[in-house]
Amino acid sequence: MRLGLVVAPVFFLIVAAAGAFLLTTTGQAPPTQPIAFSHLVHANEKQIACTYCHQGVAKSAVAGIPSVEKCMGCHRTVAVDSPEVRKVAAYWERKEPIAWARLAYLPDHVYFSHQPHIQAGKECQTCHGSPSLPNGSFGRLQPGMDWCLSCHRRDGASIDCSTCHK
Amino acid sequence: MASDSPFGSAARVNDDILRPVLQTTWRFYAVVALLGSVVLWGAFAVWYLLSTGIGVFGLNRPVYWALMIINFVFFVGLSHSGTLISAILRVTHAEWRRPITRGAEAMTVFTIMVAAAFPLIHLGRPWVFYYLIPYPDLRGLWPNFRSPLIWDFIAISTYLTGSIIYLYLPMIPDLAVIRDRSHGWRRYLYIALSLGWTGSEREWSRLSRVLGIMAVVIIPVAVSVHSIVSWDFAMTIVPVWHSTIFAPYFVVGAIYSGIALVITIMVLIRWVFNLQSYLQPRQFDNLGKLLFVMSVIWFYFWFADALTTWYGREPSEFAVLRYTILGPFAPLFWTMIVCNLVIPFWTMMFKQLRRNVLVMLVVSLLVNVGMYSERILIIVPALSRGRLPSAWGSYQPTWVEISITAAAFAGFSLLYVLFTKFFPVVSMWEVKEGMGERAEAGVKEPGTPPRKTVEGAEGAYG
Amino acid sequence: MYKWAMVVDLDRCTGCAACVVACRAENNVPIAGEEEAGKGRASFWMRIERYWEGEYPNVRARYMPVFCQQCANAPCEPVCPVYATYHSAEGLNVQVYNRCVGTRYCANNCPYAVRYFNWFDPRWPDPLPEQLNPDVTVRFRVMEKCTFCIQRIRRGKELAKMAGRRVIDGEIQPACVQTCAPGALVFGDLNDPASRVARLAMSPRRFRLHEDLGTEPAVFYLKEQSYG
Repeated sequence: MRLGLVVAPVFFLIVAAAGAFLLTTTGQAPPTQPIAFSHLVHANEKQIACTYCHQGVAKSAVAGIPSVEKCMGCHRTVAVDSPEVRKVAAYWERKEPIAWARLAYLPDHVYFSHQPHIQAGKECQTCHGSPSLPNGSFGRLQPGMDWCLSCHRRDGASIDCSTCHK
Repeated sequence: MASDSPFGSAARVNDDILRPVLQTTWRFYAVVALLGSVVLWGAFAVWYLLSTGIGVFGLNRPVYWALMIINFVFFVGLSHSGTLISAILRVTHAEWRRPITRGAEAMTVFTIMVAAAFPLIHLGRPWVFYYLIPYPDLRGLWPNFRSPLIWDFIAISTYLTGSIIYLYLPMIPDLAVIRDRSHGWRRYLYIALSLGWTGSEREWSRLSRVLGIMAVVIIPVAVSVHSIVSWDFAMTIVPVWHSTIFAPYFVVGAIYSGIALVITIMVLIRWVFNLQSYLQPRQFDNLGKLLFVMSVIWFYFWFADALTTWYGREPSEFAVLRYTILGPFAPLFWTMIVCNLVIPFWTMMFKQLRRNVLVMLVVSLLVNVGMYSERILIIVPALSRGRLPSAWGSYQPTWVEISITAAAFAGFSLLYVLFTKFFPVVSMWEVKEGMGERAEAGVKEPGTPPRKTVEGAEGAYG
Repeated sequence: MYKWAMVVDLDRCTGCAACVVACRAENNVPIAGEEEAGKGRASFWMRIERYWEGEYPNVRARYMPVFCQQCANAPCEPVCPVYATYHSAEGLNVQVYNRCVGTRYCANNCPYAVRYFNWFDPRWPDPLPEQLNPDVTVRFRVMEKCTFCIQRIRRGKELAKMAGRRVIDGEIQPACVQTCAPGALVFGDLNDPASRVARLAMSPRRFRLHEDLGTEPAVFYLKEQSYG
């Protein structure tokens, strides 16, 4: 009987430790981007507005990824000697789009449109984090419906299932 | 007094009943291997189901529920009588109950375990079954307490928990006996399970008080469980299902099929473990009387329900009844009537037949054939003949459903066989108590209750 | 607040089933195939029921489009153990696919048999996956049914809100309504007394399916007037 009293808590601790380990280590590694683009440099240091590149954000569901042409609009003259900018120029020469790896994902059963959120005056950083975050973390979304609901409840936005679930 | 009993002393009871626990023969391994392979085949069928989709069942629109739910209702029904009989007989101090309580309670626990697996297998996405559990979360989502399935979920888990406790509590003194007789790892198992039982007067009086409470509490739980299972159907607006009589009708059917299974199990235990001197014709006589009464009550409920439908001729309801009685289900319908009414009525009426163990085995098995047919007839025809004739359909089970069903029966038997290997299948202390045995002064015998704990205990076998 | 409703004019319905095709394309309704359809596994969020009347040679076919009736008093809703189906404030019977566990209880309790289950994981032969609607999720092993094209309602409301006005009558059209050549299907806001749907729903020809069950459907049928 005494043996049981010892074994049970030990077993419980092992399970709990294994669970905690799994929870903390299953975060995905950031994907490798074709070009080492830095939001820190563009948005934080140079103070370029998010909407300058992500133009769809105020009028459509998706914010959009800028075209190579948009990049070259500046980088024809700015920092042309940087090795990463040269890579952009190479894409431009080849007339080839840059295959950026996507960071912000929503599951297929979620409907999301940027437009109403921008119309309601939300900042990009509210959901995507600060551009000063290390590369690969910035842009990612907080997982979980409870996080969406925390704002929707606070601001009196719709919490009807059909608003966000398709 | 003790020497008058047909099987001798308390020590003899221990020997007789613990023999299957302490000695293992090749037959045990053969049975386990046979049943285990059927269960493994069923597990393969479940894996195939999960990896392919519910379409591997014979289900379709409009028959969205079939064999898995039939099995669920059937096994919940079987589970009924074990705990209920044991509790009612304990509450009423029926002396003849003593050798059958343990076997009946174990039957309840294992049938309800098998039954609880079916709604999970039946789900389209069983991996999210936990949405049915009420737990607080940051999203503020709760299950829908208006849904009979949530009532069901709560009722089944309560009943399972209660039945396990009700099986375990009266087993503690017997476990202490095994503890003192076993060696090796099994000894540690029984040390843990017997909770340090010593057999003191205080422990006995406490046990008898707790059992008194549990026996009273478990009766309404048992009745509520099958009422709620019936409300899974009766709360809908499906023609014929939507019936006020369903709750008592299901409870009666459940007790009926449960008693039949108790009889089947008692006959088998008596034969396999040579317990002829414990499970006497007297026990079968009384169980047979119960079976007789239940067959009549069952038919009364069925008839009252069917007659109103027949007489009322409400088109959507009448279509279902006609499909059941005159359509392709007619053979099943007559199986039900013959097995549930005709045979038990005309056999259980006679004392000689009730005291004939072979007759009891055959009749009890036939009653459950009839009750299984009844579960099919309740579920499939009503769904096949819905309100819109454009959406009428039918149902044929596939090998997957049949395999899982076979595995359920094998799984129940396997659990029961394993139970008899680890636990005494007859409650030893209750039998000893009935014999009026008393622990000799100075001898530490944890498994024999003092004479005064239960009044009217003497003379059970006199 | 809107209250969405549909009117089906049986006088105008020719049974052409264009609505069935449009619905399938719009809502990613899975394809069952011939064999599975024979077993009663085909999904038709919108289906045409055909009834024969009279004896040969005096026979007449009657057509009736049947889809989710979006009942105000829906029998499917209270039985769902997880609120995967519920009633929205705008009168829609919403099905939340990612909440559904697949008990199929709702389907049993639907007197109109308009709820469909994904018996298998849906597959489309190439190049059909290219035409899947991104605004509608692809369902796996859950119940599904007509939503009144909720994705179009959602988008229509967003556009109206952006412009700071209410939805204009006829601005939102489910795929079936949009494609119905004889104009048998009309969709709109019942709370707007001037809308076509509100006016047609007052017609003396109106009836609702199984009205005796008290389910209060949001779909109004207009019965045929004569054998013209």
